Amino acid sequence: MTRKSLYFDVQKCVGCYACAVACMDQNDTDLLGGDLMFRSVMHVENMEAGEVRIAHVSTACMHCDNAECLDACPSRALRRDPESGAVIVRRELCIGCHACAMACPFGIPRFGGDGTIQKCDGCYARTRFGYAPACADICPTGALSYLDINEAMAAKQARFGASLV
Amino acid sequence: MERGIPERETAAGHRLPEQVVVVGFGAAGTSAVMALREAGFEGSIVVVTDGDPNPYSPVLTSYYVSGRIEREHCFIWSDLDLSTLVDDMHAHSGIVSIDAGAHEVTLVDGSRIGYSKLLIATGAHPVAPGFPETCRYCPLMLRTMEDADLLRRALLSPSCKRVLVSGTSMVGLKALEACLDRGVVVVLLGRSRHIMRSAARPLVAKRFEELLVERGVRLRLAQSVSDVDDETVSAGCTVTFDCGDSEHFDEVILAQGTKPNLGFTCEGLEIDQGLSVDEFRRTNLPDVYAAGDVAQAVDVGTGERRVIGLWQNAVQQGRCAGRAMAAELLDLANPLPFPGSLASNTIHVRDILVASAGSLEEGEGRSLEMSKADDGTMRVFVYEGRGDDRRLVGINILATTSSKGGSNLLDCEIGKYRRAILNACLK
Repeated sequence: MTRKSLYFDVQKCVGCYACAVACMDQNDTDLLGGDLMFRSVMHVENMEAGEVRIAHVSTACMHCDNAECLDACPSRALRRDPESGAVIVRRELCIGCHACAMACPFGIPRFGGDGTIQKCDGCYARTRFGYAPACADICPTGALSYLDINEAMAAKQARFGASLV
Repeated sequence: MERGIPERETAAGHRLPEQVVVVGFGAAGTSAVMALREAGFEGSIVVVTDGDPNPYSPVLTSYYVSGRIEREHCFIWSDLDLSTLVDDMHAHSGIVSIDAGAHEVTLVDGSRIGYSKLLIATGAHPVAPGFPETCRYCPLMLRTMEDADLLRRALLSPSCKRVLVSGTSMVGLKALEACLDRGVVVVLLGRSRHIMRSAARPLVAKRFEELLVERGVRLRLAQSVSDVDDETVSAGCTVTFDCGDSEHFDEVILAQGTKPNLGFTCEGLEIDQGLSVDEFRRTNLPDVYAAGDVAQAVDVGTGERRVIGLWQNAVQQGRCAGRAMAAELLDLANPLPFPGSLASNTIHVRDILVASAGSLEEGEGRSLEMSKADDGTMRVFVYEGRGDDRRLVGINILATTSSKGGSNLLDCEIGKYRRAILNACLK
């Protein structure tokens, strides 16, 4: 089976937050109870050729191939799911040492009211049954998609090629 | 018992030895074994360890002592059945010598094992400077599972009410936290004016000390033990400090640093603070590698060679050594070198969280920027150079998890700062 991955196209994102809401729904995130959002949406303004250019970026755990958080975790609360390749959490093993936060260059690991890590698990409960992660499933513009890695690379290369002509 | 080195025949008809000996089975040794197998090495792996065949995480021992986790929780690889990766396990053993010319190690029982590649990942042991060796009272430590079992039993004893923790680095502070969790009165003793001498700027350390005092800890800083009397007391000991004060303690916990485990002989092996290694964890002797708390490698933050006794460092060094050994044994392309580690720490005591990365020292050409937020979060940035050449070389942050959002703000920041420091250092 070819491996699939989340793919984000910044040019298609309109910053609607549907991905963040779907993520909270999927994970039963209780914000009032102290749970934290796994996915965030940022709005970025840049000046380009004298004009303001607004972009929207939806981010969560990147599930890095060379995930330093996995090396940093002294309790193996963070693990690689062998089927999906996602970096998943076993919160019952987390000691709340924050070593993963130190290791992650993207500022992803956060700690809930009980002091243990909370982060995106790549919706591995969905992907193992062939469903896309909730964020990609709901995205109305296709900015977030769940693609075969080769398809994702081809799409990226096509965009790069188009930018050259 | 004498063992020969298993051999394999290559397609070209050459006979190559195919046995890796790994001495030590902690974070570095375990990571190396896993990396060897992941790289496709199917030859023999022999492990020699002074511990149990089922390795544990020493970082977790203080959590076990405090009662936050169960003992079995410390054995973090239990689910993987590491024995399937290892052909020959010599547990509760060790090596007494290495004959690099003959490619052979001698074990404590006198048996010899041949190797084609040897990894020394023997870790480190705690040192106890300043505590009289003639004293009958045996102070407690926190390194191994046996240490943790003893300490836990001591803290659970109804007679244990007052404990002296000597040492203010990571291990001392985690031992202190375990004492607080067990409801014991703690006195923290440090030789320096401030705690965490190498991992916190003085202002951050001072705030950390204030928060510890608010949580019931008594501090004795810039002091040391001058005498220990265990004869005139029925249990525990009376400690006299160099300021002249004396106090009785039911237990004393020593956490004053570690030294690499180098209790073997090996002619020609370069030893400084630890075993000097290159970016592939190779020592100066052919086919001898070292990784983890026993290895002295480049600290990319300072450019100096030193032993960095951190979990992540041991894991990454062990993996690097495993890949490098596999590449040579299997005629694979060289793996990516591991240029060195950046000293970085997170220390969490109760609701107090202190993080540091890179070099925190002041010096010529360096400048500091400090800030304190309304919620008490402190940030210290250490820069080197001026103007456009100015670069971040160190960061030190303190936050409390009880303040609204304090810890999570820190969590969002520290990894980015660490990466910025690392990238600037590796340029």
